[in-house]
Amino acid sequence: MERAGYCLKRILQMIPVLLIATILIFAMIRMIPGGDAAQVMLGDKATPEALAALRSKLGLDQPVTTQYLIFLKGLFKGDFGDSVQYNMPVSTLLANRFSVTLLLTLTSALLTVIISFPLGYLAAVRKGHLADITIRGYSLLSISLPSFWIALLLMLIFGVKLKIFPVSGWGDTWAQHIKSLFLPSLTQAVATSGILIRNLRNNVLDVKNKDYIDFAKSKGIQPVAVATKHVLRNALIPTTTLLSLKVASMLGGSVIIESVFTLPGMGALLVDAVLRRDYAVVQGVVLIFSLTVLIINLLTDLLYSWLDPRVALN
Amino acid sequence: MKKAKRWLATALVACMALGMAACGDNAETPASDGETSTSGGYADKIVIGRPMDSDNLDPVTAEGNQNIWMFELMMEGLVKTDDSGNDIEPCLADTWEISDDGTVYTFHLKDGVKFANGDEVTIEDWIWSLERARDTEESEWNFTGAPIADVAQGEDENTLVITLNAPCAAFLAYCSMFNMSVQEKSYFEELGEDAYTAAPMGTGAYMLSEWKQGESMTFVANPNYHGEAPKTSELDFVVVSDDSSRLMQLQAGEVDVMTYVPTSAVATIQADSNLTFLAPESTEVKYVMFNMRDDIMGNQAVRQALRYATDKQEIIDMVYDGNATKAVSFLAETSEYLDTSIEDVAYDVETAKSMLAEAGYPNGMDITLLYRSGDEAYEQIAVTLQSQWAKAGVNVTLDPEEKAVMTEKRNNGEYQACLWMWTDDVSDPSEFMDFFLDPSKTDGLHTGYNNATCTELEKAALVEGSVETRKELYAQVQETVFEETPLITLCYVPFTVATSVSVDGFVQTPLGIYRFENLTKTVG
Repeated sequence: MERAGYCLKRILQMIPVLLIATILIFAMIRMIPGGDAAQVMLGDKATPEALAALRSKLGLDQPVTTQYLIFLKGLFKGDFGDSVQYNMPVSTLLANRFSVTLLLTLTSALLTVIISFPLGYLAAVRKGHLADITIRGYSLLSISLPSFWIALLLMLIFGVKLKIFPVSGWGDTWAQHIKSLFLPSLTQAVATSGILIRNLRNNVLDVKNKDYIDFAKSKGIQPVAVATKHVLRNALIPTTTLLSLKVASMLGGSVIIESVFTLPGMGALLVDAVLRRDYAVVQGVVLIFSLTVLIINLLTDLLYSWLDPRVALN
Repeated sequence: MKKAKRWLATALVACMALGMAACGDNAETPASDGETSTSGGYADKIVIGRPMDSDNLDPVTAEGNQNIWMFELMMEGLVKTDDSGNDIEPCLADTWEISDDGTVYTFHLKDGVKFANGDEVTIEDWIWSLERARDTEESEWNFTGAPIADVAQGEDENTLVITLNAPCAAFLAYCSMFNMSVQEKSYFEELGEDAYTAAPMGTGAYMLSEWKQGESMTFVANPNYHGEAPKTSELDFVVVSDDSSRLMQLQAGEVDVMTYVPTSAVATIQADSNLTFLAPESTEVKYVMFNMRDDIMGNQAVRQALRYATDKQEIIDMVYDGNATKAVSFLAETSEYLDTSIEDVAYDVETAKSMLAEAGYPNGMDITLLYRSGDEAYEQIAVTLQSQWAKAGVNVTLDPEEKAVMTEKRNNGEYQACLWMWTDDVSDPSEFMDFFLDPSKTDGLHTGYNNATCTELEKAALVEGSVETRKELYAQVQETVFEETPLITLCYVPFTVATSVSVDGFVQTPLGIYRFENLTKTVG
């Protein structure tokens, strides 16, 4: 019950945050130099008449405050406006692409866990040995290498040389989608795992030296139980919260990954829309991203309180 | 205790390894899609990789090659350009007559032509299409329809009579342009103009079968086509925005053709025995333009001096690896109106320096060079020019900007020198001439160039019927422009395409039109 009340409170708090986000993005996209969508669409051979006609058609000649009110009104009806580039409702575009980004983020998170949790634990228990040194070296590379470089390297090895996975693209069938997701997810996982490995390693080392671990051992609790119920569970708490935050930032990373791998997700849509000054699309994508981050933060807090009963929700 | 810890750690790592291996086992080598079915040794489908997706397929309102090159596969007009990009050939009109005063064109249409959906093409469709081309305000191509006063049926339902306001020498060339293609009125009205941009229809050899926004666009052979079916029945244009990724897809066999090959990749492709590099001639001319309203750049002697300081051959060698030709005048290399008598100046740094000194800049000067960022060619040209002009004492500050910002700065006159280019959409110089020399259109391609004599000459050439007279008029214009140097043309650049060795028959005309009737991919 307390949890439910807390959730409700948090959801209500999201509304003013999202509203401020809309104002910010509405203003910011219009402050970018380089003209508006009409100028971009017509390009070089634009004559003043053609520009004026297109602007009027797109409603770009109205004052900014009017445009904002139209946008807000539409939001309450679930209407994000129309994409000037694709001539279709933004909500349709978002719906098509959201699942791609969501799948990418989930598989990236999964691979990140598979890579970083065992390696982080191993590095801690084998501290000072070769395994630890190797893992920490990998960790350093992961943090320092830019993700798009990792992407190109993986494409070259697995796509061109070994031909195990498609170089890029999304495919048509579900089987192809899964295959297409592997390299992009692996790229994000490799790029994110470094910092998680370090974090988990430090936490495990920290927890191992705590009094209650000695106490548990002296009570005669089996080593496996000590390792999982006591060491890991305590060590994982801060690491899991870090993971949640990293997952939220993976949404931002999707912009690069989706562009390099040509995945039809929201990140690629955002890049394209900014370059074409497709205001409605930018606003819609940023709004969805903001909402997703807020929800992830809420889930993180709930998860944290569940993992660690000592923490109170408020 | 220690044993247990070690066991746990090993077990975790083993799980991880197993997980990875499992992923690896399930994956299989992706088969190149075109190899699934064949007919006579050729693949049924060819996959073409391009960097950008289309956004609007309506030939009247769309702009940009990412759109134009696509709907040109589907649309046909009264006439078409030949593969050289220069001459006009019959297309949906078999023959035509032009009245003596040059204002009445009578076209005799091919009989029994149908749209891709099976509907017959009617005179009403023609009238509606041409009027839409002329009257759509937000279209930048309505200059092709502007000469038209009236379109009507002639003596029978296969005769179309177009009456012009005044004689127009370029009118037949205008009729070959994509926005003057025939489209179905009822189909357009049923879909509405917004939905039409995603699903247009024409009479061409191919029709659009599927468009997955941001991913791919698929064309299939038009079952109702009046001519011979193309050799490959399905074309799949996939979007691969990253250049390296697109090249890797070609190398991996995931795409059969790669368009827009960056200059840095050419050597790799030429060295690969499984790939072929093609460089079809285009009308693209790269130039550096000057802001004539600027204090420094407004000085003709300065601009002319910079021409002496420019080593065009070095740019061709360094930026294009020799795959480009020097440009002197600004018309396309393939144009029959190109004045080849103009003599370019030799690269001569000393002359440049002395000219600058005479113009009042004995110690050189500082100027900025604006260009579009993110484009390898522009970046390299900019850097090369910077080092060349430095030898003449001109210190160039590079100003790379994102395309939209660059466009705005240039159009607002916020630059001194700027790199840009032109490509023709019509096989007639009047398009370029008018956009350039009619100040009300683009203010001299945004240079601020305004020479009343040139404007008069090009307007006269617009309506002049005799090819010889037009050549003279255009020659005068080109000589004047060369002398007054609102821009310095650098080089003609070809299209760059790479294909797998099994692909044959790739044709792209200088105007950018794909002619894929004989495009094939051999299998097995």
